[in-house]
Amino acid sequence: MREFLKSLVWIDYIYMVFTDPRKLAAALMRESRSLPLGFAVPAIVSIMEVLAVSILGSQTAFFYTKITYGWILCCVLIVFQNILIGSLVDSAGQALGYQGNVHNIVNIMNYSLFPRVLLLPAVLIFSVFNFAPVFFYVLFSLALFVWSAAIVILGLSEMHSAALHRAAVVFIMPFVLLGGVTFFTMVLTVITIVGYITA
Amino acid sequence: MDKNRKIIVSILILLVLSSVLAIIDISITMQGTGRDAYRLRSPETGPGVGIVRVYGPIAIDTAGAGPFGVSYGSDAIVERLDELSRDQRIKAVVVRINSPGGTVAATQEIYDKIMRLRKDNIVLVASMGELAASGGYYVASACNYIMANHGTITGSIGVIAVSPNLKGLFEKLGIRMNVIKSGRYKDLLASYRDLGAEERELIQEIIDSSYKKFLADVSLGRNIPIPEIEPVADGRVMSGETALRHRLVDELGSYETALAKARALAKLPDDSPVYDEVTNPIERFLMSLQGTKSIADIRLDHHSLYNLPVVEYRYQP
Repeated sequence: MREFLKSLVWIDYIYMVFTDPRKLAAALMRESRSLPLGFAVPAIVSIMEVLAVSILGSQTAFFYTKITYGWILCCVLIVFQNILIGSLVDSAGQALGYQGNVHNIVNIMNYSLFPRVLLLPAVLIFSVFNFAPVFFYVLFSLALFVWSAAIVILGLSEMHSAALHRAAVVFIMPFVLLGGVTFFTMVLTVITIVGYITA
Repeated sequence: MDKNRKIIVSILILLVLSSVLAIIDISITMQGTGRDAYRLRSPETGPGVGIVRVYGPIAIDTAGAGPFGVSYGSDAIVERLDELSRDQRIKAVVVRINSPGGTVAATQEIYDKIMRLRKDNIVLVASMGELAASGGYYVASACNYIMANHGTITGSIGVIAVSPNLKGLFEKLGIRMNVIKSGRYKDLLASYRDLGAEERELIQEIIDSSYKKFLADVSLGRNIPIPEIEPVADGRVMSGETALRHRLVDELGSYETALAKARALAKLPDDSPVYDEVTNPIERFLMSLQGTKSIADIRLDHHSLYNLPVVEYRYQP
C-alpha cells in the first residue's frame, strides 16, 4: 500500500476522474489496491461538504463539533449510500445479463464523488461576494451530482462493455426502485400520522 | 513528475487552501467584531437558569396528556419543576407568571412544588408579566424573590366562588328540574334555585378555609406576619409599584432583570445559559398540533366540560 501511495498512481486516478472516466474504470479494475484508497474520497468530500454548508448557514460554535466529528458521520453515510447503491446497481446489472462485480462498482462510485470537492471553492467565491450563495450551492450540487453520475455510467459502460444507454439504465434502475419505496413509505407514514391525529 | 500530475497536485493544493480559507472565514464571522465576541463560545451546557411559565388560568387539565404525550395545565407545570429539580445544571429557576389565578387545588399543587424546590436550595425568582393576581400571586409568593413590572396587575388575595342564579329565567321559560338527591345539600349551588342561608354558610366555610390557607402560605413564602398582609388581602388588585410598597413584591423590573437576579442569587456568571421549557422545534410542532403554545395552556374546550361552580383563587373583573 505504501509503495502504491509512493508511486503516485492515485494522482493519475484523480486526473482520470476529470478527463477520462472510461480509462479510470479500466485502471481501477486492474489495480485491487485502489479500493482502500477509494474510501478516502468520501472522507475528503465529507469535510468539503461540511465546510460548504457551514459557510452558508448561521455560524455558531457548533461548527467546531461538525468539523471535528460531524464529517465522520457524513463520511459513514456517504460510504453506506455508495455500498447500498453499488449493490443495487450490481443487482440491476446482473438482472440485465451482465457479470456482477460489486467491488469494482463501489470503487468507481467512490472515485466518482471526487468532483464534489469543487463545491467548496465554488460556493466560497459566491459566499465572499455574497451573490446568491445558497442558489449557487444548490445549482452546483445538482451539476456535480450529474457529473458524478456520468462518471459512474461511463465506468459501468467500460466495465460491462455495454452501450452507454444500457449502462445508464443499470445506473438509474436502483434510483427508480429507491424512489418508489421512499414514496410509498412516505404515503403510508402520512396516512398513519393523520389517522393517529384524527382518531 | 509529469505535467498531468502537477496539474492535479496544484488542484489539490488549491482545495486545501480553500478549506483553510473557509475555516478562517467561518471562525471570523462566528467571533464577530465586538470585544467580547472574540471569545469563542461553547455550547450551552453548563450550570444555568431554568424557566417555568405559568400562563393563563391555572387548572388541572382534565384532558390529560395529549395524543403525543405532552401534558398541560398545572400537572405540566409541576412536571416541569420536577424535571428542573432533577437537572444537575439548574442552579436557579425563573417562574414567569402571566395568570389571573385559577382553581384552589391546582394553585396549591404548584405552590407546594415550588416550596419543595426552595427547600432543596434552588434559587427561585418570580417574574410577573401583565397579570399575576390571586392564584398567580399565590404561586409567586412561594419564590425566594419576586420581580414585578411597574404596571403589573397583582394582588387580589382572596377566594371566589361564582354560580349563576337562573331561577327567574327557568320560571319564565317554564322549565322545572326533577332532582332526586340523597341529601339536602347534594345540589348545592344549583343554578335553578335560590341559595339558602345554610348553604351559603357551607360555601362560606370553604371560602374562609381556602382564604386562611392563602394568607398562611403567602405569609410563609414572603416571611411576613399575617397581620401585616391582611389589610391588603381583601381581594383588591394593585399595580407592581403599590405591591412593592406593601412588600408583596421585592423589586420592580422586567423578565431580563429577573433572569439577572436569579443568576446573581445563585452566584452564576452573567452569561450562564438559560434553559427554557420547550425549545425543540419538533416538540413545538407537536404542541401546535394539539392547539397549544405552552405547557401551561389549558385546552379550554376540555376544561369547560367541568362547567361547574368551582372555588377559585382567581381575579375576576
